[in-house]
Amino acid sequence: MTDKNVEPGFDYNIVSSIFLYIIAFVFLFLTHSLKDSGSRVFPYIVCILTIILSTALLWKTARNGRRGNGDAFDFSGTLSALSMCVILLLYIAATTLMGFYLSTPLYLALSMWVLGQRNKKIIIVVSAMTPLVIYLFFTLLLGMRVPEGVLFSYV
Amino acid sequence: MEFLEYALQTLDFTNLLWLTIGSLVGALLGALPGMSADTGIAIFLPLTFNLEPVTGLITLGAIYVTASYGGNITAVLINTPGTSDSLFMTLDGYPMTLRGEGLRAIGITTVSAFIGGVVGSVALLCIAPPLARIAVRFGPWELFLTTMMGLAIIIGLSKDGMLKGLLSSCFGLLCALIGLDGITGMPRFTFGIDAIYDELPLLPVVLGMFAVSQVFLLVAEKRKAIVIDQSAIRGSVFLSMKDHLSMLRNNIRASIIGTIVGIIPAAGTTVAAGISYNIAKRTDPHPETFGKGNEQGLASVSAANNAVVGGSLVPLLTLGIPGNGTSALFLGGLLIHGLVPGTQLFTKHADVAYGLFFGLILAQFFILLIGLFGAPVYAKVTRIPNNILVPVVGSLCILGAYTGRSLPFDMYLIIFFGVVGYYMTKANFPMAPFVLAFVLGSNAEIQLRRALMLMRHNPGAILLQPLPMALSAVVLFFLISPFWGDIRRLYTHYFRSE
Repeated sequence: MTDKNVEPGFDYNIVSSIFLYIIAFVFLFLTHSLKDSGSRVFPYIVCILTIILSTALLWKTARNGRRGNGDAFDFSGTLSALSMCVILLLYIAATTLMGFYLSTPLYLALSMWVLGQRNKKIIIVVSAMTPLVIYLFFTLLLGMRVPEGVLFSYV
Repeated sequence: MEFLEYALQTLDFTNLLWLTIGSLVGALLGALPGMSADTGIAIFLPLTFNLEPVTGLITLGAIYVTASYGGNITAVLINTPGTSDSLFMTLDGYPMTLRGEGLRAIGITTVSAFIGGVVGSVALLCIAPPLARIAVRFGPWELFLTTMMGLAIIIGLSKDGMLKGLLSSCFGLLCALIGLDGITGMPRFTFGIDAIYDELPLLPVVLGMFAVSQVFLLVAEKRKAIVIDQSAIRGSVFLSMKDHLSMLRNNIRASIIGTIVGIIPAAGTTVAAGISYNIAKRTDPHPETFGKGNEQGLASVSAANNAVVGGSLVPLLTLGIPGNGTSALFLGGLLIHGLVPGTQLFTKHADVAYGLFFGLILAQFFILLIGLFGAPVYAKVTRIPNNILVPVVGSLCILGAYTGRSLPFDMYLIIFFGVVGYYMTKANFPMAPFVLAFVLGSNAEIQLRRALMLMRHNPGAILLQPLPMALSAVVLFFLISPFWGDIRRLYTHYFRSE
């Protein structure tokens, strides 16, 4: 989702190329250590193709940069997205520790608040109803397993 | 006369009841991120054990049909495909929602899915045996070319970013290589992580790339709701007859494509949707509108997706070869009831086989009911503020990731691929080639290596056959055709201008 009206700043194609180079070379190194020759064919093809294409991307980026018509990128809002990422990671850690039904209301309340929901009634209702609906549908009706949490798995 | 008996048995109260349950559950599971037809069929398999074989298979069939459709709803309304099958829905369905035509988009995808599903089910009923004979002729090299064809189609769709499309698919192929080697059974590229010893699991990867990345994108955009102007949700799910007729040709063509592709093992919904979309785009007088809310594009994808269901059951029921992963689960349903695919299924157990076929046709009507009359309810999803929707979707995604293997690792994996998907979107890398390469990569490698083993003795016998040559030509066509206009201009400029 790039806003084409954003002035071209740092060219993230360079970051992408470097990232793909690293992945390709790591896979190439690991491929080399595979014992079976048949196992190496396809990984070699894909790794070499990735390296060639990443080089082409770098070349194209440099050429466009010289001509002054590089790609425009819009990474605004990434800090907010990262904060959501951190909340989700904490949620997963809490779920692993105390189980899905205890951690979910806390996660929902926290994330709604962080995202700007200030109506306390809505926060309480959504935080309470969502795990209840999930319990009724997933656990009772479908018999699916949800994370129980380390603390309660021996109860 | 027998056909009438088989059709009437489908209308038996018990069969209708379980058909209804299967349809409602399937549509819901298809719409929820992390759930899919596979989840529904896997859960209901033990539940159908105590049912009559025809009732059990009708239930599983209804889940398969409506789950394929259910993913369309969230794909169109909130740009989050409920399943990877609905990936293509986001290309034109979501732009329609953004311009306030979410209800119309639901109407289009519902009727198109109905048409596709009926065509696929009727094809299954009428022409299963002869079609299955063609599919049996696909050897390893042909199957490899089929997967390459699928990738070429997806990459060819992103003409302006073909380089990034190719890179995206290479990244997907590398991810597909993680885990056990399909031929030798030895682990590769696992980095010492036990949880990915056998493979990188599909569910967390797809959920992360599409659902969790969407969560991050919604947060980054800081928009209050997906459709801010509530009056922008205009129109109706009910289209005029003129509108339906204008899409009929696309729907029929896409349904036939979906049925045929569904028959080919390993091809699957995404390839069918890709081919149909590509052809619809090429034959449209305004191809530049595709990807921006073109109704013909949406219709073709919907019809192809649902037609695959019937097609994928053709090789399964006639030869015991699953057309895709979901139909492989279906095989479990047959075996549980002591049924063996093949001629006997159509003779000794004809009531079961044909009961299933008619049940699938009946399930298509549930798609109409769910889509056309439940659409206003689904449309309300777009009015939910993002600060409520985002946390709830996040929670469902985390749960969805866990349900696959019950491993906490998968929950962290979904976040990793959510970050990857977010970056790819922001850096203008298309995600469709990644997902397709990831889904098909492992099988493509197995087929390629089998083909290479066979070619050691007589390469010409494999390469120079009409079918592989035709498939190779198709692959080249889809890769080169986006640049056909440019090639012609260059040819005219350098060779004709003298």
